[in-house]
Amino acid sequence: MEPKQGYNVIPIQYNLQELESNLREILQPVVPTTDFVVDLKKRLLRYPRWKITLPGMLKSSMLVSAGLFSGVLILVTSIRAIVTILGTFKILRQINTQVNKKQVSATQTGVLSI
Amino acid sequence: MTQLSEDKLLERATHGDREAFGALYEQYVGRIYNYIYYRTGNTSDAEDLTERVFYRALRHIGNYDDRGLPFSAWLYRIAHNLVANWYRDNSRRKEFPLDDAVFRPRQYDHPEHKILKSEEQEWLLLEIRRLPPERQQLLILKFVEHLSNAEIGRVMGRTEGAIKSLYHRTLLVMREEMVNEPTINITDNDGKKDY
Repeated sequence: MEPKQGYNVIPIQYNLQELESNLREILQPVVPTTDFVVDLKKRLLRYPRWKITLPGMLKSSMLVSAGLFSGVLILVTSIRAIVTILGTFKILRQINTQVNKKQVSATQTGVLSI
Repeated sequence: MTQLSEDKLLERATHGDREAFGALYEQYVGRIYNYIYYRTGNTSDAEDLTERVFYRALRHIGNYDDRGLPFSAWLYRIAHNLVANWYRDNSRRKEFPLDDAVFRPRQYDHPEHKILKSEEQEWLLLEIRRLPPERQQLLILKFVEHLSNAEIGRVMGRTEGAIKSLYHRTLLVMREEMVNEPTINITDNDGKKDY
């Protein structure tokens, strides 16, 4: 391949073995600093225990229990709300009935007095 | 450390034994660090992400299930996911810091050849990091970790044949890139790098 004028072209007549050889040369293991490794290990060992000791089964059962409890709570609250609304309607209806009765009796009393 | 003792450590670690997890950490921290280092290209992000990998592993070790895959495969998967998130969150895909890339000059090289060689290696490193993540992982496991195709297959959840094939295709793609870019890693007349 002809090099471009004005450019310092690196020879690139690679075959796959050369490419592999170059990869082997540049992909060398790097070592993390000892400070980093030691410090991270200390912090990992101090990490709150409950976060890692909660077994999967217990976690799942707790989630299911929480879900069931929430569901029952919502159901009870809904029933209570419906009962309260119905109760309010009943009271309103009773009040309305009583008012009507009073009006009727007042009218009758008025008629009699006349 | 034998496989048996690693199994024992794993069993103890999954039951909350912190010392056992510490031993596993010591065994794998270098490998995970290497993997992340070559994926991100700088030590500070490599340290940060390595830390996150082991914290995540610690949080989820109780749920670890050996499905015939080595423990390292589980760690590499966590690392892979975190690196992917890192690229997505930081949009650094196009940045190549390479602040501390490892270039090892050979003593027998002529100085001029040494410079050219270093440039060539730098370009090659950039090319590696332009590859799809699974190909990068393959190269890192092969050349940095010196794993065999069978071992790489176990880590990446593929067959040995599939790894061989992927490796060969990766080399062909890289060689093609080099042929298509004759001005690779070169300085032009103004002394500017021509990536």
